[in-house]
Amino acid sequence: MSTATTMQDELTLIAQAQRGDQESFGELIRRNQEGVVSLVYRMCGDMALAEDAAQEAFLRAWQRLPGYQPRAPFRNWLYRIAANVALDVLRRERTTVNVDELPLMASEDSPDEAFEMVERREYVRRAVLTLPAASRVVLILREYEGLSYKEIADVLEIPVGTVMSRLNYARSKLREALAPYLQVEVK
Amino acid sequence: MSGHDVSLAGLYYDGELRGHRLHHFEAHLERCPTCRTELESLYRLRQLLQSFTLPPDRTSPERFAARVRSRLPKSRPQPAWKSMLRGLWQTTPALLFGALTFGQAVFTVSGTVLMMLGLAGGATLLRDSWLVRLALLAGAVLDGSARAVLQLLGTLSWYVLLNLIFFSAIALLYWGWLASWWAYRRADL
Repeated sequence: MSTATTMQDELTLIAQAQRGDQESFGELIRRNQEGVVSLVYRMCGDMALAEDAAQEAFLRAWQRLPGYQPRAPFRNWLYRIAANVALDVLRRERTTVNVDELPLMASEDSPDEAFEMVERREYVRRAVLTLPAASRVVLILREYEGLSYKEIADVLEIPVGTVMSRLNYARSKLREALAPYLQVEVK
Repeated sequence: MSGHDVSLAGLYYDGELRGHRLHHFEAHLERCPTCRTELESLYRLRQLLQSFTLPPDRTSPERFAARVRSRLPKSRPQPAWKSMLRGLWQTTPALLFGALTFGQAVFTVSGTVLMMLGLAGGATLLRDSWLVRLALLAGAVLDGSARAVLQLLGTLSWYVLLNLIFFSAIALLYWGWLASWWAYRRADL
């Protein structure tokens, strides 16, 4: 299916959902669930919490759906709601998202590789989760969701200059925290 | 480009450099090891960040969608302006009554204050207040003075007419609003 057809299809689903069609909204959820859950998960670091927050984000999206204008991509509009929900969750559940209390993630690789991978993954995860929420959300939208500076600015309703400064801050903090894994040879 | 600005490496890496800035930076990159190191470091960071993946034991999109749908309200979503409009519609009678009472209270209190200060305007204001006129009329009726009643009715007549027009206009507006809302709701179903 071409991108144009997919977009047209999405616009049709949105229009139907705006008229109250829950089946169409269900399809929109299925298409965007991965992105929304991954954004919220990387914001709070706990999958159970992330799935609850993502559900809350979709419920808010349903309520606000009549006000959605297809000027901005639907995905970005959802990201705006999801980012706000994630920030609410972080404010509400400060103790729950303490990085030192987060469960370790399982691995499907061989023991040696698995150990190294799990160690590195945990290191990265903790480094990301210790960033201030305002910088973290910018980093996640850029590095994991692939949004441009302008799109991030629109999603978070902040100036592009603020996006750049928060992104630079997040990256510099991560480079400090992940220095052992970032040995660079000058060519 | 003389010297180097490592922030440009970040912009280049994020695909945010365009036109001549992009060409200048690419040319600069050829001869600047510092910027190349910066760029390489950003690529490595991105690679490393990719290890922060989602756990495998997460809910499938179908199940997730079903859970959200089970929590959706039965009614269709309403735009925010519609909720505000509905609130306004429901409170319109109270608002109109409140505004009228407030206006009359201001009118009566101002008249009383002006009269107490000995200013002529106070008496006029008080005399023109329909609350005062109605009170006087009620008093005259209770006293059984037909002449006083007729006099008051005479002075009230023009005032009553104006009030009648005013209230009819308000009533028409209100019932018009009610009818349009009803028609809108019918069309909406």
